[in-house]
Amino acid sequence: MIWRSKAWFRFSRNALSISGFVIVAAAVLLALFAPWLTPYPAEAGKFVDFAHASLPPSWHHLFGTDTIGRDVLTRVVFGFRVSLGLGVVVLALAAPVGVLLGLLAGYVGGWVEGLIMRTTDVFLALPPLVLALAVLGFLQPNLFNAMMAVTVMWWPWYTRLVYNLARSIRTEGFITAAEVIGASRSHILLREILPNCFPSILTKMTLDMGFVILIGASLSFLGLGVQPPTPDLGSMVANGAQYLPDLWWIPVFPGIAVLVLVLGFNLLGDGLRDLLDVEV
Amino acid sequence: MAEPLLRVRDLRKHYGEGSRAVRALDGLTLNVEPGETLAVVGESGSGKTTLANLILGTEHPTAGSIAFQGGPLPAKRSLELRRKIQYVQQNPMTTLNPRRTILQSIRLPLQTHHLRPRAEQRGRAAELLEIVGMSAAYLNRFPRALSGGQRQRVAIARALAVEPTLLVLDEPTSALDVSVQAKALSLLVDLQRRFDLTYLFITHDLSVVRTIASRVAVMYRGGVVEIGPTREVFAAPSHPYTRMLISSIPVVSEAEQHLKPAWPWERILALGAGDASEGCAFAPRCPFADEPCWREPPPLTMVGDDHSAACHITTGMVVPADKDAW
Amino acid sequence: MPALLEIDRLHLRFRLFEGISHVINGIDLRVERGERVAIVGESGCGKSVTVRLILGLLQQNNVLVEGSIRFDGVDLLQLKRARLREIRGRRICAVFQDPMASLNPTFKVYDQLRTVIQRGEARRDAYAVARAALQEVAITDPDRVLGAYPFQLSGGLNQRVLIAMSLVNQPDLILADEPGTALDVTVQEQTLLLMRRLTEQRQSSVLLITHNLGVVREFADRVYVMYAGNIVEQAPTPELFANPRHPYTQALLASVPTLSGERLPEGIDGMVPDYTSPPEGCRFHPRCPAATSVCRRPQPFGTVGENHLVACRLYRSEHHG
Repeated sequence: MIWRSKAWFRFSRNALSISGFVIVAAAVLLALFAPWLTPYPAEAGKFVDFAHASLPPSWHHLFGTDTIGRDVLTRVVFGFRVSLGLGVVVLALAAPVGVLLGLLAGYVGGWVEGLIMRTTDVFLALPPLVLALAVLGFLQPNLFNAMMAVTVMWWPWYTRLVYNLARSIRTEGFITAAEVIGASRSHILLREILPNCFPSILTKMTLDMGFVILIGASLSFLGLGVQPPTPDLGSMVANGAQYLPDLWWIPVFPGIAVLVLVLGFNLLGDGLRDLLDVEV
Repeated sequence: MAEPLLRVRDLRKHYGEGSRAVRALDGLTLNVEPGETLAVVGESGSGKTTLANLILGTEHPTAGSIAFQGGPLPAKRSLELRRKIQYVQQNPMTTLNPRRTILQSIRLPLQTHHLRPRAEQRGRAAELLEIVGMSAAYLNRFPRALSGGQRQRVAIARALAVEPTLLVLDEPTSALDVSVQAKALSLLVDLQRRFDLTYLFITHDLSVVRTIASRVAVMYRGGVVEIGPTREVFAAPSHPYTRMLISSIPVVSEAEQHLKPAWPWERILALGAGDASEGCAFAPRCPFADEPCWREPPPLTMVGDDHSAACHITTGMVVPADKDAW
Repeated sequence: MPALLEIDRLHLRFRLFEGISHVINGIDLRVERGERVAIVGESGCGKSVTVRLILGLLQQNNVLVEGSIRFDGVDLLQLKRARLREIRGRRICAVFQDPMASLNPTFKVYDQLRTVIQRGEARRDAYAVARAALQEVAITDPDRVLGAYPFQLSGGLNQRVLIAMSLVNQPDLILADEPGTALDVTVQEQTLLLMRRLTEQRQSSVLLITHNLGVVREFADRVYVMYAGNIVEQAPTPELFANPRHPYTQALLASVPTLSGERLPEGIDGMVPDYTSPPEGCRFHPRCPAATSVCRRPQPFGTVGENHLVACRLYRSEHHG
């Protein structure tokens, strides 16, 4: 039934948005059903087969094998799991916190607004990667901690977004109407203002997925995120870089995979932004 | 004589400080009697919206007092007090939350004031829609599926849900087409009778005032310049601004044309920077202004039965040069 | 002698998701030289979109237009963009509803006025021309206004600047879309008086779009009453108000609150039709107290007086000459 809606009609007119949607849908399906869709699921993580090591791309191994014999295609697909998983967890944590703080700051005002927004400004002033590195400096490098680090520097963007939205929605007629009726603050924040923020929040989350994946890959590239043998696109690029240009398939395919994934989310996010007519 | 429903005394609202302060309301005094429709007429900058905000409690007064049913009416007020004064806004397109269904919008007052158990709320909402002439089928729709006139009806239904005593209506029909406006006005008149409501009706449209208001207060720059029974004020407008307002209504018949007071439009067509006046706020635009007008603010003086105006001409202090134009 | 503006058998359709929206359903309209004509109707009747068509502002690909709009003999709908732009701004000027929205807040008034003046012809004395134009619209301190930004001026002043901008190149035709509606009623009245005086002086033609019948009565020489994309009645102004014939015109007049306050205004039952599936024949018939089955067929104009035509079955048999 969604296919017949007016929204879909407009969305489908845009080839780029559709491409984005297809890429993301494919990535999600691959990630979810990786064990069943990959040719050599057992080779994703802890696996060694020197007999078939460093093989260039062929019909048996579409992306070739790496230096210890693991199928690169399988590892890339399993890498999607890690990347998408990272993105989902980070956003599921960062967005609600950021949104809530933004709502409070935007509607309640006063010292609450000052406190929240100044804190947000501080976080936003620091370069994201530096902040993540600082956090990780205290912790063991692993996937979980990498997620925490990225979450910590991600929530302020949502706060700022929702703060601006809340400030402009606050002056709308229906908010005044609710105030005159005597509705409680929590009702106004959560039931009147928040629903009007959803399109922007959703669009931002979609666009953010690409960036979170990129940051995650960067952290792994620096050796601070996912640790081997867990397949991760960033570390695959990092560890594979030394084998250029001879065993080019080892870093290149994971690199392209990151590119395509990020591109997909960006296109989808742009399409959503046009569709929902929001300012993000 | 019954106790006035609303007593406003020397109400002031200033924004900012010192000499640059904007004086939205500058010592406003009036009463609203129970069961009447008091129209408050004014243009932008007159303070009529500020007055509404202060009565509704969305802003705090700088000075002065508002009493409701004999007791004080602060901005921060109890839920019970909130119930008694409700609001219908000017713009029907923004008065309903676009992400909430009509049912949810009408239920809000019922939920907030615990007026019905949850199971009965839908039924009550349907009842309220019927009162304003809309079918219950609209309950599940979103505002975007409704026209301006329909949304305004929903806003009225929502305001009635708490069974208020006083309804503040801020230009409730200005954004509607004239044929739709007519229907909305008859609805409002009908509802007032049925539910014993008092209306504070803010508008710039004097024809609407003539049709439905029992009393009218004309505001200019933060103060009341004329107030009285509608028929009286229209028959004998005593403040130049009132005369200007009435004569600027584009009417549709010769008969009505004769009802309009004369106004020297050609004389005041010139528009430039106005000099500030220490006395009457209207002096810069007044074709009859004379020396005292710039010096001394005119007090509100009686000019008829329950009819007063704030103008030096009525007290005899100023005599208009050309009697024909007045 | 052909009229300055002649609209013939104009149809406008939009291709929407919901279907084809038939917004203008075959209208004929003329404005003679030096004449002030009004199109009066409620929201959605198609009057504003007609103005946009005349100005060539509807160039999207989901727009379907039929018919002709002849300005001084030339069909504007057939013109290339460049030619249209020559006419627009010089021979046809427009004044829109909200002066705050029509003026660029980041440019001073003089800069905006000069841009318009230069469209007429490149001049060295643009400042003098601008100054004179503001004096024409009764602004007593034109130098101050020229040096100011729009947000520093009142709505009334901005509206006058707009009027000055529309008149400075001595256009043949001025299109005014609800001028003054966004302003206070006293300012609106002054604006209308000013426009009437100036256009009378210069013999400019005006096509005024409004929903306010009182404004029509004060300003226009001739009126077209529009409903749901059709013209239902047209007459010289005094005649229309003295003898309104079409049921919609009569209902509209009855909806206006009166200054005598004798009766509550009536209103009209029902709603404006959905243009993707409009009623057959007369589009007003579902709401009309005098409707019969005949009304489901298109109603041609019948003459009921001097230059007074009505599109209604009630007046088909009355013909003069």
